[in-house]
Amino acid sequence: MEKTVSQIDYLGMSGWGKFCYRARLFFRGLPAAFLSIFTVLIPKLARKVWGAVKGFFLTLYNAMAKGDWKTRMSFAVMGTSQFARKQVMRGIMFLAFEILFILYMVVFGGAQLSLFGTIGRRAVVESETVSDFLTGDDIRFEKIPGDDSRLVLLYGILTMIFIVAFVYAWYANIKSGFAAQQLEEAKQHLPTAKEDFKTLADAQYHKTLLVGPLIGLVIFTIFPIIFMIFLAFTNYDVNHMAPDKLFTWVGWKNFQALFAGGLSGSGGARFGVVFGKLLLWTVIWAIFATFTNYILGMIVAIIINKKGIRFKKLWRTILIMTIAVPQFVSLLLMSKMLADGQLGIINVLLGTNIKWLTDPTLAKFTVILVNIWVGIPFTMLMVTGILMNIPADLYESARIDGAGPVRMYFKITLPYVLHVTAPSLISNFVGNLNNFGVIYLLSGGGPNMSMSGSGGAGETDLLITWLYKLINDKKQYGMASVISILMFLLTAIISLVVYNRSKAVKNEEDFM
Amino acid sequence: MRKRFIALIACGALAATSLVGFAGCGGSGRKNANAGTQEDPYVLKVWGSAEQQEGLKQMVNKFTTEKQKDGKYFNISVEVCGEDKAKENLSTDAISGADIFSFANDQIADLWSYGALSPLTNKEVSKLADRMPESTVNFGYFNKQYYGYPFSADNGFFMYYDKSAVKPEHLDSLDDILSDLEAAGKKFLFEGETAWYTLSFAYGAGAEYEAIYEGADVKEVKTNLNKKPSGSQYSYGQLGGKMVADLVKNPAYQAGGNDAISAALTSKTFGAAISGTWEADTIKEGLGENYAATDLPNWKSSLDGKTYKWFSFAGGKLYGVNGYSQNLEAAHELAAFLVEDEQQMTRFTANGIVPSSKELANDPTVQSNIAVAAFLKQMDNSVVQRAMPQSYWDEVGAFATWLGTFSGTADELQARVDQMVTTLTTVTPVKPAA
Repeated sequence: MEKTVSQIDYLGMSGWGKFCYRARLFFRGLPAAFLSIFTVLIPKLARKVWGAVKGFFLTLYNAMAKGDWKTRMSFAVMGTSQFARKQVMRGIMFLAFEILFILYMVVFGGAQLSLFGTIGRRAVVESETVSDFLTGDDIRFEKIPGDDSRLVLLYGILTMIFIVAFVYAWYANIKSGFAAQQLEEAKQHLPTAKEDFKTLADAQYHKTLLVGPLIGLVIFTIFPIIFMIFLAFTNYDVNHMAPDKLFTWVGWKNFQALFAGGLSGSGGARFGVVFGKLLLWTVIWAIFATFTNYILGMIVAIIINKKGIRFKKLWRTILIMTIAVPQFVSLLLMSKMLADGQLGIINVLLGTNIKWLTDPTLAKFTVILVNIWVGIPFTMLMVTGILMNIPADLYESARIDGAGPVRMYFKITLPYVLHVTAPSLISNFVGNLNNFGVIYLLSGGGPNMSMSGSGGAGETDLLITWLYKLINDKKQYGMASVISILMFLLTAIISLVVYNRSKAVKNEEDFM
Repeated sequence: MRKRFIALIACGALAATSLVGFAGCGGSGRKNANAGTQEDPYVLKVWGSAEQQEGLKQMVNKFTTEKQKDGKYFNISVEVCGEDKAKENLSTDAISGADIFSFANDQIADLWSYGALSPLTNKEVSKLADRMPESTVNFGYFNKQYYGYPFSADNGFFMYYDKSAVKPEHLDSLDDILSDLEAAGKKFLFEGETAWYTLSFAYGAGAEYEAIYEGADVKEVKTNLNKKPSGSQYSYGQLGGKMVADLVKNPAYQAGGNDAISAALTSKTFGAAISGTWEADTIKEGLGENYAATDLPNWKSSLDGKTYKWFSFAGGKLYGVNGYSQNLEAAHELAAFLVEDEQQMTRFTANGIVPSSKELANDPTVQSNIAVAAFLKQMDNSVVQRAMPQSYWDEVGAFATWLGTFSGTADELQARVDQMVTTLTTVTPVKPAA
């Protein structure tokens, strides 16, 4: 699909022509790169999953068909095969796990799972109070708490995770039992508990090291994400606030409401239109915030790095001072300084009443401008380090060949810097898509959209700050989950596509 | 080996969570109410704002001592938690919230939907009605029941002004006030571009808005903002909206709330401000002997040339009793005590909080407070701010922002008002998926 010119033609182009040509190739490649997610990545993943599933059932079949009674017994009582083959320690662990799991399911998990279908069943009950404060025929009812839908959802998901873990452990028990049988048949030595433990510091050492991170990842990242995804299919909102009310499954209704409107408690707010507007602004913001910082930071670094510039250390120190002040302090100060009329010191000094942060268009420029001010030192710092590492003889020989400063920049400096910083540029871009701090502290997302049905969204709101408002002010948890799922898809696709197409990844070994 | 290893981890995690799970389950059981004896006193927790802590503690002590004489023992703790924070805390967990908390009357629908409010008995309501105006008792009315003990009726706005800048005979007309201020080089401070204030002109002209609730849900929204008052060719929304658009373009106008008021006082440009009793101390100190306050002036529409009144919202603060309180009846007893006239007077003297009692409103000490007197005068021209869905604030806020830069024709304005009314009155029934 890509129309490429021959090497000779390419070399014959002017500098600008080459740039345009490469840019064209890049953008022309984007749809294909996007499609490759579906044509390459997903089939690859599907094959892997299929392989795993096949392996799972194949192992079970083999163990059933070829296993002796000990192995077959393991299907019902975990650890039998190990016990019978004197691998007591293994046997105890599998058996203990099975007993604990059954106990958990009987005492707690089963009940939670049965509530999961409706996310709680018992509503709050009101019962008559008994008190000598009440006189005559006065009566009053007090509330007796029912199921808390949030906890039901939480324990339901936990129980499901345990079931998956149990199935895996059960499978592992059969596999290991069958392996022990095969070793025994081959008259080979079965590892003892002591030997098993030794491998933990040796052949299995990587697993020992990864336990901590894995547990952390599951508890703090994967579990909350699963919880959030489930929330997107519930009506957890301002009218269904647990623990007083139960919330329940509503299927794809929240997704429908995003595009067609009609969410309870939000009047005629048009989430779809607001989402579109904010998505556009979020992308524009991310592009500007990333590239202005990058280009300007690089220019500043190059200027400071130039031979003949005096007090280099002083300039760098001054710029780095802005890093030393916590970013939120600078941003809050800036937002105060840029306030309207007499309230903002900048307007007072200029003797004007410029609506820096309250005019819809100007506010967008202002946040980008302030972000440049906060962000340049970081790029400068990074680029300075790279610049100082470019071998001086490259420039020297270029100069002898008669290259001017501009040519040297485009031929030596830029490729070098770009090569090293491309991954960080991408992470910056994705970070800016979700740059909560700058927008929230500077403009708070304001000014309000003047459009009817904007549901309280502001002109400079990014999707992420809008999400915050939906959760914090409007308690639309279900809708907020839907939006965060869409945001996740967006950022994941952008990062995957751009990252895989960046030179740094393609030609990793090219680094000079 | 790997298998066993995984089994080990899973085992540990399982054991840990089962423990947490069982513990969590056990915690949800309810303790029984206390007996109120010396050995087992009623345990109550009260939330109040930071500035009222001292006063609240004194009142609570008084209550405890009084009740002890009747042989009822209380153990009451007071914690700092203002109205907004209280609502936030109760939204996520009403069960572990305080037994008694203060709230503003427009929060009632939200608090009700969190299950945080316990209703008053008929007897308790009639006791309140003996001492307070009907509209004030109605602050606590929601879904056919009364849910709070009003201790103040101070949530409304009126006009503060600089005596030296505004001529006394001009106080009735907004136009005259503005031209006086422009001549004096002073500013008229008003947050016209925010949801709370922007429709005040329209309400003055006769606009109405009502959200009808069924449970926590809005069943229907009624408003006449897009309709015309009799004898006018413009709608309420047009009249009120045009006034805001004209006002923000006036050279004497300055947008802003308390930050702007302080700044204007410091820079000596304060001419007049539309705000509530909470600004009284700041403005009094800033203006010195030129400090004055009165009700809102009338305004003349540039559309039909007629003069209309300018309305304030009217609301107040109440003590609510948590529906999940363990000592529900004891908590109601304390809440009723906290709104008695004597306690209201203490609150007025210490914090300048406008009392809700009929008798105290006519009290010479209360009337001698300039801001409070102006506020009470304004209350005759006000609309009660009832429970409103979030969509009201969102949508009217968007309209207010739109008005800030509006300079088109009356037809364009009407089109925007129509849009607003459509959004406001759209109601989605709450039905879970089949």
